[in-house]
Amino acid sequence: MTGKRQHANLWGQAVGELNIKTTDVSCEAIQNEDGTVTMSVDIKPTTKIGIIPADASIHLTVQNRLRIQRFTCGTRDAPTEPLDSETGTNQLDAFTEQEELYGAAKWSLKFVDAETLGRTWAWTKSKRLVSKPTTLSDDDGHALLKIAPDHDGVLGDQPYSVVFDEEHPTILINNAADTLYEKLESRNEISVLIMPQVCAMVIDQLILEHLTEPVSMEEDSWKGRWYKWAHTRINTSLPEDDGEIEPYELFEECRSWKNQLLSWLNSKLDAASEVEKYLTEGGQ
Amino acid sequence: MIAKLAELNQAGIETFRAFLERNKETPSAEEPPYHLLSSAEYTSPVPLAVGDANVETDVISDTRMQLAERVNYLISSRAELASVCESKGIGAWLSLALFSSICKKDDDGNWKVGQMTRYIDDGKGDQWGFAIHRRNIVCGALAIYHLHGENARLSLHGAASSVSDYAEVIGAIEDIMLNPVMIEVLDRLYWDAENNRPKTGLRGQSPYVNGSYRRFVNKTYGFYAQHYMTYDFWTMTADQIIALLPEEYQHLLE
Repeated sequence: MTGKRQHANLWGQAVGELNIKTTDVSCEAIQNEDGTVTMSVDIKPTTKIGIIPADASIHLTVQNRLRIQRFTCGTRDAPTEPLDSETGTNQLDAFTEQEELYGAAKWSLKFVDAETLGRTWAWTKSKRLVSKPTTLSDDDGHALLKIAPDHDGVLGDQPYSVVFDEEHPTILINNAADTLYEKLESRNEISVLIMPQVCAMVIDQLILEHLTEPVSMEEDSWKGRWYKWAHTRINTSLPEDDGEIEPYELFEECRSWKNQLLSWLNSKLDAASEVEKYLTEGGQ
Repeated sequence: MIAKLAELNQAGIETFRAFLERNKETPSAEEPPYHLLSSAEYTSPVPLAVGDANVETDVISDTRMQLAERVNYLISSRAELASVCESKGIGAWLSLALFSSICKKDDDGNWKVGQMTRYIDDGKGDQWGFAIHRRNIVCGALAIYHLHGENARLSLHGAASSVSDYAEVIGAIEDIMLNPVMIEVLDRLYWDAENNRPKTGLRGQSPYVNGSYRRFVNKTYGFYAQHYMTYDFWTMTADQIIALLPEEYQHLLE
């Protein structure tokens, strides 16, 4: 017999997730002239922030894999500069002073109740300290595809590959191919998609994820955003497992969906190159 | 042979990989390419605070705890730990240097080579969720031991030639792996002090049994997933976190 399992969650008792783009909270790593990097947090006087109890303590976490720093930042009504819980300074020193390396770290912030230890009033999602350049956005302006150099050397001899984290697919460019990075970073969206392999790799991963757990256009993830973007262009949904379809048939239908999207993309690229030819050749 | 810790370069990694693939396909008693370890052609030095970071290839460590203790002396700080565990070349060097401990042999004395990522990172890094500290046998044991010492016995139990399910599951969520209070909670829930081993009957396939560690740690539906937003586990004690646990975990605390 299965007994009572997990508690219901407590989101209903919290203020909830804070906006870290423009309104509630922002965080910055400041590169100083002496080479040190210090953390700065800005808590804005918004309605959401005002609901949080004045004595709730603010905790900032910066993390990248095994490197982590926890900072306390005072309370909601008396915020202070971030102070590392071990060193007592606002220096970001568990990472490295080089922006491209500490930039991979993500920050998140919580307002924690003063009396009920650990109880969180509000929180932010984890966000990279330094955003990767966006090379493709969806119709709502959200990033669909990022680009980053391969500082960790994970690519070996490959010139590029597409990697995935919870937020975006990213074109990872081999450090030995500097010019490729510059070209992609400076070009427009269609130019990026001139690499049909990139789009195919993202769609392959999307289908793989979809076959494991159906992807919804409404979900707040790169999968949801890519699915919505693709659906808007070809007006066709990803096939779903209705319990009657054989797995290989479902896979074949997904592949057909991918081909439909890539055909649309190729037609756009053909049109774009015709326009470019017209412009560069003066309409002759 | 005694070798000073270094980083295998791409050519060194490929030579080691070729040895692994050869022996995975046709197990043999071939000696691992230890000559790579000190070769200027295949390695670059790794400066560590400890100075002479020597590793002896002939000494056998039987358990993951022994393996971790043996390499932990190399590391003096969390920054060094991160540098070592983020490097594909150092991870591969450690795997080669400690190969006789981390690879089993069959009855005929031939190597029983396991998954390649246990020895050499697959190159995909953390983006796929397969960070070196989770997959590589040596780096996995080193990371959790350096962070928590013997308190991490749950992750360090078992033969040195494998990565236990506990180690993989805990290593998958760094927010748990890095937090000493969460490690204490897991130890109090899942360590069988009487028999000096993890409690039995809490593994198995989905649907997981009540109180299983996968139901605690899981990032999508587990106890951790339900509460990591609404509670800040870093500011809590183990008792306070345990007080949050629902009924399904109570039998583990009796």
